[in-house]
Amino acid sequence: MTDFSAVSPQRLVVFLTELGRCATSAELVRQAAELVAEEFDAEVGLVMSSDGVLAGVGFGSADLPTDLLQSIPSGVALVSIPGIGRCHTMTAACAAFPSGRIVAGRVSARYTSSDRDLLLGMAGVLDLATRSIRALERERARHRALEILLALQRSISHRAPLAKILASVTEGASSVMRGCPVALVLDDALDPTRPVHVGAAVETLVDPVSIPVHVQGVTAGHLLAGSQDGTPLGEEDRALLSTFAEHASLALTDARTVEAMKEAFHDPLTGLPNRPLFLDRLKAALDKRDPNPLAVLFVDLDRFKDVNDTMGHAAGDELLLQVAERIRATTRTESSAARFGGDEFALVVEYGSEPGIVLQVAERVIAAVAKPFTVRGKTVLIGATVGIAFSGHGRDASELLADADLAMYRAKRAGGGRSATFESKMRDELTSRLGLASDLTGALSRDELSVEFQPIFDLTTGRPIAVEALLRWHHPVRGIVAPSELIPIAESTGLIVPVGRWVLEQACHWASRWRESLPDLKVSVNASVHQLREPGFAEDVVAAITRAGLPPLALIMEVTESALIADHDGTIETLEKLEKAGITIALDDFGTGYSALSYLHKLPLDILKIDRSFVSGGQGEQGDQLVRTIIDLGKVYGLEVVAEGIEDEAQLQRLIQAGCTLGQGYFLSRPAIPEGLIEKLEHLDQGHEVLTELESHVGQPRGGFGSTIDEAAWEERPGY
Amino acid sequence: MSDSEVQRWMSVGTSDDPRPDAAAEQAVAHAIAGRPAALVMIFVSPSYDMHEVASSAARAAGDAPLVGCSTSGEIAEGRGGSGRIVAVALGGDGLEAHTSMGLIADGASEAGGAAAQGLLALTQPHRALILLPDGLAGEQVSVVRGAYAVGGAAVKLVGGCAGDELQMAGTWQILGDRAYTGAVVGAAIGSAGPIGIGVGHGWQRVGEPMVVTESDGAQIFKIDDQPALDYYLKLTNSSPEAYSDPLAWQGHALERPLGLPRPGGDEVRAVLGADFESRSLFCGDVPQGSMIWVMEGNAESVLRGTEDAFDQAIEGLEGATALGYVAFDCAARRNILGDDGLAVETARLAQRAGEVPLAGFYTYGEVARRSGSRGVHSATLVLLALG
Repeated sequence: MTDFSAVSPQRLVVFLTELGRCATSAELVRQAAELVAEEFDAEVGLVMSSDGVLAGVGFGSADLPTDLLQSIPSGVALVSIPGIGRCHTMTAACAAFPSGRIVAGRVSARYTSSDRDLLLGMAGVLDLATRSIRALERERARHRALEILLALQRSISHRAPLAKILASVTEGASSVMRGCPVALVLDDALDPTRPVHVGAAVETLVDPVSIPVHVQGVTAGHLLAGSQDGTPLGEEDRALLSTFAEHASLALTDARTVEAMKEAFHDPLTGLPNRPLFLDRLKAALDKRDPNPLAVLFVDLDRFKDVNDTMGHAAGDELLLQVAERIRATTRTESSAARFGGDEFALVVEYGSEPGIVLQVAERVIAAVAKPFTVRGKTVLIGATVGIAFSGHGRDASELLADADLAMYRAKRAGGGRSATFESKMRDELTSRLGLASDLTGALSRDELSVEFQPIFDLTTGRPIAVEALLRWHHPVRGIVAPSELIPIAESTGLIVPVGRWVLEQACHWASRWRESLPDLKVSVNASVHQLREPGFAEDVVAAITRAGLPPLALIMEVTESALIADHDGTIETLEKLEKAGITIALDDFGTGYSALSYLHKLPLDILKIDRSFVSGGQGEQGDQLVRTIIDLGKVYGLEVVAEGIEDEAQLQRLIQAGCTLGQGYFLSRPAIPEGLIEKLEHLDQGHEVLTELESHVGQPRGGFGSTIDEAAWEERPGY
Repeated sequence: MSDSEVQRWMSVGTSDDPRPDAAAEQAVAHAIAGRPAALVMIFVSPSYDMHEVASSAARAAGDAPLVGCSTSGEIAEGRGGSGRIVAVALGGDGLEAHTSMGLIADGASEAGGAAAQGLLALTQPHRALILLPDGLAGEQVSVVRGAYAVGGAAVKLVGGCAGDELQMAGTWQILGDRAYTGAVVGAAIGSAGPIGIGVGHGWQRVGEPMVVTESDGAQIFKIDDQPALDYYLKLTNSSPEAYSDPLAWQGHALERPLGLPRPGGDEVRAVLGADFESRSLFCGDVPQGSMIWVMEGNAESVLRGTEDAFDQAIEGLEGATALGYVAFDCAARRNILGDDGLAVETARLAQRAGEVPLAGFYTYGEVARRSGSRGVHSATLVLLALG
């Protein structure tokens, strides 16, 4: 037999580690009772308070002899427990609960003094673990209540369908009130004998608390909540319920018409079920006693917006009707398809024992939507992207739908026109992204953002002619966040606008200082599609350079091809304004897939930047050929061409041989902090005298660029 | 006992017919021998097609509930080895059984609880639950907790985890005419006679205690803050090959399990696998912070464990004569014994059982709860004696 006095600290660590895995206080006490019994090789383990037995093991499915257990004396004793026999009991007080204590009861042997010490230690650890999990639960509940109310307010102000809002009221209230059942009962003006009912079944509510709901000041029904575990609802719950009832009143008053209530569950355009009805049916399918395995397909149309924008909303609606018809035809029963508004559809597929059917349905939907449509006599080509989530793992209807949505988002990012199946790591990525997004909100004010500058060189002379401003985020926990992660987050949260404005200010400020000793130096700043769409963006840019005392030609705005595709007209308008103001425009990441050569002459462009994937040489002969083509194109359209991401001597030589005269990359110079950069730039600027050699290499750009490239030409013509 | 009462009985049938349906039919029919059975258990070599075995065995069992699993070797008729189907049938007045199952994917504790549901229908005074969990799904502690939550202290727990001849590819659990993986099947037995459970291993601590400094409950990553695999191999003086060669490693590790000090004696945990990439050990149910010892044994000590198990099981019969024994013997013990030792152990088992039948299988972990609430064992022999 082991001398346990020697191992107690280890046993307490094990106890704490096991308790640390619990997510709720209910789980915690159950686990504690199990571990107490196991630790002492005892049949019985208990966690008790003045309210009774919080958790107990050893009694199987039989009722707990509560009175007997409550009467177990403190310290050690011998107690006869029915069904188990004469038990040596041992108790230790646990401060986490009123008159709390933990108890071990075993038949085999008395306890030693080190057993008692260990139990006391375990009581202390349980106290600690309970306090921290309660704090966590309170924080979660507060956070959740706030989130739910905010979401509710948002859906009311956005005039979300009434049924959806009312369902959110009951679900939200229930979720905030620890899962207590909540029901909303409304008088139906059309049929007073049959009230409209949302949420839990009223007759099942135990000790219900009822709060009136008003429409324009007149009582129109009640929001009711029942007890979850027999404990009557307290003042705090009543206050929470009132808050939700007020939100319901607000939404009802806003919706007003009976018509809205009648039509609340179908999409008026396609007649398909809407989101609340879809969720309701999905929930019913999942809640069946013996549910069929099923999958949710989230369908999002590709390029629908283009049709809506170019042909008008009426045409868009006509197209949606046809899409709905085709989606309906691919499913076995009509009831399994729904439209969520916009260009989003959803399907439920019950697949029995053949999960392969799900993918087949997804492929059928994609194929059906990919076939040409005829709208108002015109052929229209769109596509569909499908996210799939399979039921199981305890996912409820909304979670399943969110999973499918997430998978759809992933498929969309992979190019659309395909399907992706949900994996739990997608959720982790989303959580991490959401965490970063919330961190980014305060990053500016916390001084976590900075700007670095990477020089762009004349490859033939080695002179730096411009610097590109690059945003950096030093996250206090994660360290440097890669731009590939940072920029999409900034874009998706809209923070790109204030952050972009700040980068521009910084870039103008530093460029203005550096131009005192390098008067030809230009600064290049990236603009996202979100910024370009902002009304008044061009004016803001002009104001920024004016404030910094920077001439317009010293600023280059870099835009990506995808930005141009995403919002063609608005973007071109902004770009034209910028060019008119004398600012140079560069097309970033040129050649990465969206390239349509027609843009080159339609757009007010001055510079093409060859994407690093072609510069690296990784794409072989084809890549080299493309680089030469881009350089030739540049000559044809009178555009400067800059190679990005030059990483070694071989790449540099290949680019020079291909006729590329401008470039940037780690091999030439890494991005650097602005402080001290000027000395480096001045040093690099020594190649000035070989500039005239350039002539023979770069040829004759169009539009009076001049037969010689001299200082004056650089000043007159926007470019590097 | 009146004349019309049929005495309680247990009997065993085996077959090594290569055809799964024929082998299952033969083994079960032989065990039942035309009598109405209360329960049929089958322990099946993984070389058979489990679906065919299940459906044929269920047919042969008729109205009797059927449970079973794949093995890492079968024990019956005084012989241990591979490639057979062993059937155990119980019956007679005063013996009742109800079966059920749970899937570990639904939560290990929930699965254990689901497999224990048969207990709720028992009427006889002496009760035990036989658990046959998937041996590769882990979380045995939670499975037993779930079963204990249903049965409580009044029910004895016993059983063994399904094996697959150390292939570590997949194990099968059988309930009725269906075979599953990732499941826990349970047979709740109620009897008018006493039921004894015996546990013995014969392992002994060697060297100094160590602390598991990083573990997720299924895998040990660090011991004494060192990469677990290398530290363990160093402490156990392994050959250099065991550091990188999985076969050499398995031979070494199966003979050197880990022991956790517990009131009532050390609990053994077989080291079932290693991740050479992360330098960690697959050794279930060793929580982070646990103090552990390396355990060693040899053919002689393993046999001493066999004696201990018998003594305890017979003690549990409270003086009644045994009708028969079911053995759940760890695959790691089989490995240590080798072919010769195996013959000695099975002969010893047969000798101790005497006139009454003894059958069972080599497992990937054992279940036995005689007292207290814990019930997970490893590298151990567990015996169920029916009185």
